[in-house]
Formats: sequence, C-alpha cells, structure tokens
Amino acid sequence: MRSALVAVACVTASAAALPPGDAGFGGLSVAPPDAQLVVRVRDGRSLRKDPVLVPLEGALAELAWSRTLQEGWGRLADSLGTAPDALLDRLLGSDAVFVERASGEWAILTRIDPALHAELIDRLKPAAAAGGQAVLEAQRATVAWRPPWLAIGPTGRTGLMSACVALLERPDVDGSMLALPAASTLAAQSPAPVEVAWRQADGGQVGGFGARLRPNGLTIAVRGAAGQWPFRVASGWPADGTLASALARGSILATSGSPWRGTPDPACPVDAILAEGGMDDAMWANIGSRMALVVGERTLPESGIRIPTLGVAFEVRDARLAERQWDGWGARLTARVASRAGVAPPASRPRPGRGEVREVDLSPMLVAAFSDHPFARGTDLFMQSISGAGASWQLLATDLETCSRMAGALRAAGGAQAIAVADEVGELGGTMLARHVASWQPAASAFAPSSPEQFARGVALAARLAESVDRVRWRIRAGAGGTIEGEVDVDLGAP
Amino acid sequence: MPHEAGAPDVTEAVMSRLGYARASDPSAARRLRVRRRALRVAQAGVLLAGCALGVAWWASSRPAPAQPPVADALRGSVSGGVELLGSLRLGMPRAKDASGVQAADAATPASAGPATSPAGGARPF
Repeated sequence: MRSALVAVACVTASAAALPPGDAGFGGLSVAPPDAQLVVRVRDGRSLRKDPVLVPLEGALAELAWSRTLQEGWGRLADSLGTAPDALLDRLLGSDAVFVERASGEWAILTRIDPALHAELIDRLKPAAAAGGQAVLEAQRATVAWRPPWLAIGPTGRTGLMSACVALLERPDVDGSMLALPAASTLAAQSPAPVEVAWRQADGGQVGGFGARLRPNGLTIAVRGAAGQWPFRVASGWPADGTLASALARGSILATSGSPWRGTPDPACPVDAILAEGGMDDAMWANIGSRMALVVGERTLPESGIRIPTLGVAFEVRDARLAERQWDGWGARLTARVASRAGVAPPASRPRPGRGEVREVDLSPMLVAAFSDHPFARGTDLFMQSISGAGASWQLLATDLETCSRMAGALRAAGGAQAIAVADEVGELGGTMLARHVASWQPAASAFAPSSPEQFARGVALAARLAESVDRVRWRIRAGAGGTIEGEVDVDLGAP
Repeated sequence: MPHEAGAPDVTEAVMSRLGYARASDPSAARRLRVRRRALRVAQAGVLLAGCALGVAWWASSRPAPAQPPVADALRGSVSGGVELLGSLRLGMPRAKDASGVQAADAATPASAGPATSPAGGARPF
C-alpha cells in the first residue's frame, strides 16, 4: 500500500517530463550553469558488449570499480532479484546523464523502463519525500521519477538533482549549461554515444568531446574554447602529418605544428624550458612557422628505469643567426639552472663549428636542483642547426639519441608536401608509453619518497590503461571565435 | 418505588465492588479526588515513559543499512580511480627553491650571442 502511495506521489509530478534532447550534447540542457562536468552515455548496454571495447574493459573496470561498489551493487541486485550485470544494463544502459558540481555534489538522470521503476518501488520500499522525491534509505540515495527519466542524487545533497529535475520538467536553455560560451559549438555536433563536457578553468566556457566506436578503435571529436595548454593551438603553416609519423617511430609521442607565440604557460614543458633560457623578440622573429616535438625515452643502466627525453625542432629563417642566438640561450639556461641548484656553472667550452652538435652537461646541476630525481640523471642539453624538410631547423634535445633521430627524420622529410588540414598533428604509442611508465613502479620510492605506495598504484593503473591502446593520433585546428577543434583516433589493442 | 430503610443498598454494594469509595463527608470526598488525580498523573507518566523507551529501543535496534550506499560508491569509485591516476604527479620532479635566478641572469656570459638577457626582452610568464 505504502509502495503504491509512493509511486503515485512520484508520478504525480511527471506530466510535463521531457528528455534532455537527442541532439549532440543535449545533456547540457538538463545541467544548471554552475555544473562542472556533464557525462552522457547513450546505449551503454550495447557499448559494454561491443567487442571493440574489450581491450579497454579491464583497465576501465580497474579505474572505476571498487570493492565497496561491487558489494553494494551486488546486494542491490539481490534486493531486486536480478544479476548485477543485468541491473547495470537496465538501470544505466539506455541513456544516462551524470552531472557534477565542483563541490562534489552529483546527480544522475537515467532513462529506464517503467517496469524497473515499479520494481524499485516495490522491492526497495522508498519513503516518500517532498517534491515528488523518494528516499532509498539503504542506498542513501534520493530518486525522482519523471517518466521515462529517473533522477538519482545523494540523500542530503539533492540541490543539484532538484535543479536538473527542474530543467527536465521545464526546459530552459538560458538557465542551463547550454547558455555558457562555446557550448553552442558542442551543441552543433552530431550526437555521439559518449559525450563529456566540462567547464574550462578560464572564462567559464565549456569544452568537451564526443566519442564514437569504429572498427578496432574510437574516434573522439574535441571542441572547446582555446585556453591554456594543452587546450591551445597555434595556427600557421598546415601541420605535416608525414613528419609527425616519421618522428613518432621510436618515440612515445611526436607532434608537428606551429610554434606558440602567445602568452607562455608555465604548465607547458616547452614553454617552461624556453623561458628558463630567456627568449627575446629577436629570437622569436627568427623562428619560422613550423615546429616539431618528440618525447622519447632512455634507460638508466643502473636501475632499468625508463626516463623521458624531450626534443624540440624550430624552423628558423636565418640558420647562422639562429645558431648564435641558441648558443646564447643555452648559456643563459645553464647559468639559471646552476643558480637553481646552488652550484657554479660549468666552465664555458669553445664554441663548436657551424652545424656541429652543442652539448651542455646539465645533469649534475639538475640532480642537485631536483633532489636526485631519476628524471634528472643523465639529462643534458644538445643543440644543433640542420637543414631538412625544405628549411633550416634548430634542434634542442635532452639526449643525443633524440637529437640525432629528429635530425634524421627532418632530413628525410619531403618539405611539407604531405600536409594535413590541421594546425597540429600528433601521434602517441600506447605500448611504448605503458612499458615506459611501468618501469617506474619498482622504483616508486625514488620518485615519490613520501608516498611510494600511492604513486606505485597510480603508475600501475596508468600503465594498464596505456597498454590497452595501440596508438593515438590527433589533428587539431584553430576554429572560429577563439575555439579549437580536434579529432583523435584511438587504435585499441587486441583483446 | 421508594427505597425501604431496612433493605440493602444494591447500588452502593455494586459501586463498592467496582472499587469506588463513598465519601461520607466533604473532606473525605476532596481527598478521594486528589488521590484520583495523582493516580491519573502517574498513569500518564508511565505511558509517556513507555513511549519514550519504545522509541529509543526502535532507534537503537533498527537494522543498519544492509548494503553499502551504492549511489555514492558509484561516483566515489570513478573519482577514486581518477585521483589514483592523479597520484602520478606525486612522483614528478620538483625544483628546489628558485632563489638566485636574477643573479644568474646577471651572470650571463658576455659571449652568449646577440640575444638580449631574459630580464630585457624576454617574455615573462
């Protein structure tokens, strides 16, 4: 009897229920403007069973499945007289929208069969609450039934859920996340099975991506307001996809694009390194319209730890001037690093001849400056001016092998003949990244002396995620009105 | 029919068997009323105490939630996994105190080339 009353109370407020729209990023229409994150998964039950995603299944389960959740989910399924997997498909497998505020308050809107709702009421016997809501005491959840949508929120913190339900009942574009800057760019996309949107740190704009399955992988379309690194792209000469692919061989990551001439971002490793040596206007004026970046690796012989290496190549207009400018930059960088380390800079060497490799022994200073962090061991600075790909280039690298490999790839490149319709293209090798990161695990205390176990667990999870991905390739363009647009192809490994 | 003086008073006998006392004078009647009032107060107190005890027992002996809160666990598991990935930051290199950077700029070798010193035309963060 009480169940029936609760069901009636819940359904009473359902007359004007409307879905959050079937258009791309329609989930934004049921999220209030102060929401931080919106994730929508359409037809999750098919996605879960799609063989394409099998390689990711284990890693994602490790990422999002806890013992507490497993126990709770199992008992909830028992209460409803169904299997845990079947409950997952019935409760969240049709169309589910997750909304979260920065405070951690969250809500889920999920499209379910009215029969499941009737079972929930009948078996879990929720208590009726104000506003057409019902409280599931054992689950500490509050639900509101607006057929066919079931709203779920944490009991005691239902403000966000109520706001979402209000938008569900009375659609109000201006009162939702759709009204935020750059949201229209997202909303113009065709619907994707998985859509993720978030408030970008600067300007209250919205960025997001939609992911679709394709044979042996995923295609992810990224849209958002251009902001701080990595959500920025310099538009200039079209990126050379062939060069990026050539550089990617033997690398963890390689990109080809244009140098960033805007405000430097300390969070961007390249910006930080350039600023460490000081870049003046004359140096920037001598830099051309193309650049390439490589992240490689080397192995510490004493421990087997794999250490990332970094290489950057700038196209330069005047090679002879560039070589002198970058010699000066290297000297300033050395002096600054020595100052940070509290040691005397090494004695200056005679300047090598034109086109020869410059080497600066930074490692002792970096070891002192970074408290003997493994990354600092054997990390030096190598610089070289070369000709290749129809232009002159200035190379900077943290080891000789990376410097040589970049020089080889640039000399063999065809002068930007195979350009992509993008401002930046890049490639990442998942298998190599997984092997690289996994090598840190046995030496966790050398990386994070204060919390080695937590670091080791994070490393294991990152390696597990990376090893399920064969290769990632991306293309990014600067869009209209200060936005960026990108496509990311994720090739998944064999199951 | 009028009551005969010699016949027994049936009403009084029944009332007496039911526990009613007959006050023979006004002061006795007052005492009886006070006693009844005190009895009712005591009965009400016992009733209220019983209710309170019952509520307390129900609250303490009510079964605890039989299952972990699924809804919070669902969200907590995902954010926990993301936080675990974020713990990679714990192992990233951190520079010691960067004091003395300006002195290093001043000490830039004169042979460094045509570029100006960072303190001059360099783009600041």
